Amino acid sequence: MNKENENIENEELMKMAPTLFGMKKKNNLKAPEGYFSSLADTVKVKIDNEIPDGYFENLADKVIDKIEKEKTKVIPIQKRNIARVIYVAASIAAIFIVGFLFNQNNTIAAIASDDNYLENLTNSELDEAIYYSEMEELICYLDFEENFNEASQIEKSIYDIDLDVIPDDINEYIGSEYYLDIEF
Amino acid sequence: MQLSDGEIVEQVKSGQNTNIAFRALIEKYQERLYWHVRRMIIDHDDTDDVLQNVFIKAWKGLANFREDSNLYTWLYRIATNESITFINKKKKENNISIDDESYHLHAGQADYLMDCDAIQEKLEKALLTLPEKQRAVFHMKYYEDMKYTQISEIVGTSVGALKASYHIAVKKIENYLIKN
Repeated sequence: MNKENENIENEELMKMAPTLFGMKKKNNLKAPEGYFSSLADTVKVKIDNEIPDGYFENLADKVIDKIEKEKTKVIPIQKRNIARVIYVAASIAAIFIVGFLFNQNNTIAAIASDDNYLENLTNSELDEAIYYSEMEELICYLDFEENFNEASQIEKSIYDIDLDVIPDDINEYIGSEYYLDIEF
Repeated sequence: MQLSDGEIVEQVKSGQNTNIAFRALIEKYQERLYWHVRRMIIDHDDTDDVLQNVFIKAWKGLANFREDSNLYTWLYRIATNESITFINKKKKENNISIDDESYHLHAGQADYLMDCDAIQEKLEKALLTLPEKQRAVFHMKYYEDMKYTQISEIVGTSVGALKASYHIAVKKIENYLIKN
């Protein structure tokens, strides 16, 4: 403000409000010590920690996108195969152990009556038994994984039957009075 | 070395040395804006909150700042609007008129008056009777010696209306001082 304007305004103030004009322009308020030396840092921290504008508007979309991506995440075939092999191997081992214990308890009489029970089995019969156990386990696993087609194919290949086509004699049996007599 | 307003704006807009430029802006204007807000709001803690918000708003808006008004006026405008918004919010919360000096006295915000001599205390109390926008105008004119044209840019009121508002404020204060 130039001097001339200042004088005019002062004159106006003096005429309009002589009491106010006669008073000192004094600041009666006080700021805490050191306040101004830390304000810039305080503001910076607040800015850095602020939630960005529109954050909540987009949050739902972001979460849904992420869920969709997770859903369509493809497990590499190699990884899946390794998992399958481990699962099958563990299952086979478990079958052997359980089977061994089961046979020890339940076939003890049979074994007792025939000391040569195992010795009587040929190598090919043993191999066949093991093969069927493995395949049964694999079918169970595939069913569990809901790979019904694969399970059905394996079942068909090892037992040589078509599960989709029920033979006439079985149909006949189901329709017969003997079937109805069976108590479950 | 203090950066000029133009340099601050340029550096923030260019994205280079943004933090340094913004710090320079705060350090350059913090005291003037603090007192501007403090005179309106009185309480230091409330002033601190409002002032921080003023700088945060400035930070967000600086990239789009149009240089047809100067930085100083722009910051004052933000500070004035923030202060008036704060006061109105408080009014609603407390369901009483903040224009009434009793608001400040009852809200425990008048401790500063303890340090005033009798005549200064009267002046402070007289100021509290002014409506917030009128109080802002009075402070900018009386204490900060701003030109009407500058104040006009800040509060968005014509120079004529500002002069009238200031004269009314002066008369009110004078009457208060005489009566009390």
